[in-house]
Amino acid sequence: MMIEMQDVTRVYDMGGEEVRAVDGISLQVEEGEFVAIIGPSGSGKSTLMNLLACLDTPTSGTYRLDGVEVGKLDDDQLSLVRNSKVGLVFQSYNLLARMTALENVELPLLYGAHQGDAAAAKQALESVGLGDRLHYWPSQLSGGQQQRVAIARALINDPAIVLADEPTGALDTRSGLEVMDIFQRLNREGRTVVLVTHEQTIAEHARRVVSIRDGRIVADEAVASPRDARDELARLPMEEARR
Amino acid sequence: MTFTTTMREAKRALIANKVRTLLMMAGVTIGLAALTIIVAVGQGAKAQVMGRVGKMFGTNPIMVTASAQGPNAGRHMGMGVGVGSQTLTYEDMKAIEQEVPNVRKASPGLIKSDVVVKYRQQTAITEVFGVTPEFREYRSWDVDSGEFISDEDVRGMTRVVLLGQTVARELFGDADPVGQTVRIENVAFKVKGVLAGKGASPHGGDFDDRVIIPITTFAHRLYNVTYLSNIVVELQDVSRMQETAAAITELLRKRHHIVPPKQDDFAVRTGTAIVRLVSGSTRTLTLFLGIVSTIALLVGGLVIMNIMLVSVGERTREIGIRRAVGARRKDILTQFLAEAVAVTSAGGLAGVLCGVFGAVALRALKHTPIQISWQAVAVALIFSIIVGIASGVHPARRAAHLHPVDALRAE
Repeated sequence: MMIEMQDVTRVYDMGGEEVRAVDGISLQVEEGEFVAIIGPSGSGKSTLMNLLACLDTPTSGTYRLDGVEVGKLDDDQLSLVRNSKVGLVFQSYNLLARMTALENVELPLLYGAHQGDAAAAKQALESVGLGDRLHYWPSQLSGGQQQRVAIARALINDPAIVLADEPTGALDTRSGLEVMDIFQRLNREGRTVVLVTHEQTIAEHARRVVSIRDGRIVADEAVASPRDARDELARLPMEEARR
Repeated sequence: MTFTTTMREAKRALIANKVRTLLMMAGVTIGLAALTIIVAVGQGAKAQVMGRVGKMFGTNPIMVTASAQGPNAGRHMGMGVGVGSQTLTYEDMKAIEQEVPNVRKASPGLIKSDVVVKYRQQTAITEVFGVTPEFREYRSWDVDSGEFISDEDVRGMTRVVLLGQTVARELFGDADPVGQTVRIENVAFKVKGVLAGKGASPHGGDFDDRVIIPITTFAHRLYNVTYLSNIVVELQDVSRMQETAAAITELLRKRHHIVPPKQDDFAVRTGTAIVRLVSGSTRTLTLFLGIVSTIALLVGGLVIMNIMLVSVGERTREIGIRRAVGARRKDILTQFLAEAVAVTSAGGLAGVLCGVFGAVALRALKHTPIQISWQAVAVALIFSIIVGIASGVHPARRAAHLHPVDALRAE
């Protein structure tokens, strides 16, 4: 079992008032699954995402990631888990502006337990189709390209899961589909992918959709026939394609 | 993170905001430039004073003199035969040499004032010094022409004399005295040499108004004295001068049976006592300017702290991203500290270079004596690193303790 959440809550204290952003969620994700977590804004999906990414720890309940009980870890150990087991992709890319694409991808290697090599970073960029943009600054890249750099960065330490928080939220249709195509390919190659989104069409690229409302899971069902991003890309109108 | 990557990250961040980096550096640079100049000028002044004192009193640190307690005590402060106490002896000298630790060698000296020296019809009234060859180095007596008193002269009690510049001029005018015969207290002495000029003493006396003869000749042929006017003590370790001087004082009190409130019949003087007197004013100035530049450094440190706090605020998202990909608190702390230290050590280095340049310029333009020591430079650089750590630690801790989720949410 890759992800094993048991009755997890995350309670914030907002000026004396308790806010139960995540209110008793139990969730299992097997190795090799592609899960979309969907919910409207304020549903607690971002909080759940932060918990899954080990950026935050549960108020109560247990969370095991790849066999590690996250709630029992101290800050340094959590950092190491984020570094080695989690590949994070954000809506706003979160690249460092003063680093080239290659340097951004190498960033997690700075903090890793094992000394990664530069060849791996180059390879990661090539695998997302940016082999010719290694030394570009983020500002010289399109949104879609920046997000692909972020994906390469997420993959550099060969993580147990790839977690993506609204990865297409800031992108146009084509760039968004290109990103979804990469996630689908990664999943086909056996990687566990968890995607958080509020868009039904994006969620339908996954093979399982978990719906969240008010901090609780309200539905959890398999997708009978997931959308195929590559097909959708091929079907896009030509003028759209040229953009 | 390794040291190299930490420094590379720091360099990247500092280069990215050049104006801010230069502003941060400026305070430290100005402070350390000022400090470097002050130390260079201060040490230069001190070295100059030391040089002068050395010329007057020799480089030898300890001088024991018989003190002026006799009935004829007068302007020579007991430094003369027949005027001071007669209790300082060869035995005292031997005792100092053998019993006081850190003493390499002790040498005897005799002085008599108001002695008549004649050459044909010319007369001079001057001081006569009875010395050993060691005195040449002790008192920095250079010989202008001829030769200094030798061991053979001392052993053989030869009647040879070296004339000070003033005496030579009074007796010989412009003629060369070497090889001529003069009469001291009506005893004939052959002029062996002429001392180099040393100029006026700090008390208004004339260092060149004297003649010197072998001590044995002085004691046995000229005056028949058994005591000494002074003893010059050479040390093994000059840095332990004060304790050695104290030990000599104690020994002589014991030997002379002096118990307070009875006054000493001798005086122990150290070179530094004189140096301290002369360099006192320089020290006050150095202290004052040192305080001013320390304040400048403190202000520089505060500027760095302020700018770094702003910088941490602006780079909150960067911190969040780094935390998200696995940076520990320690890594963030190290990164910001490294930036602060890089700024201050670069600023410090620039300051020291400016300071050295400024000091050299002062010497070239105003002939100010300067002295630049690598110790001072090293202390300055270490100081600048300390300023970096001190001013960087608060912003760095603030950065390190941001919660990753909050940091990522920042604009």
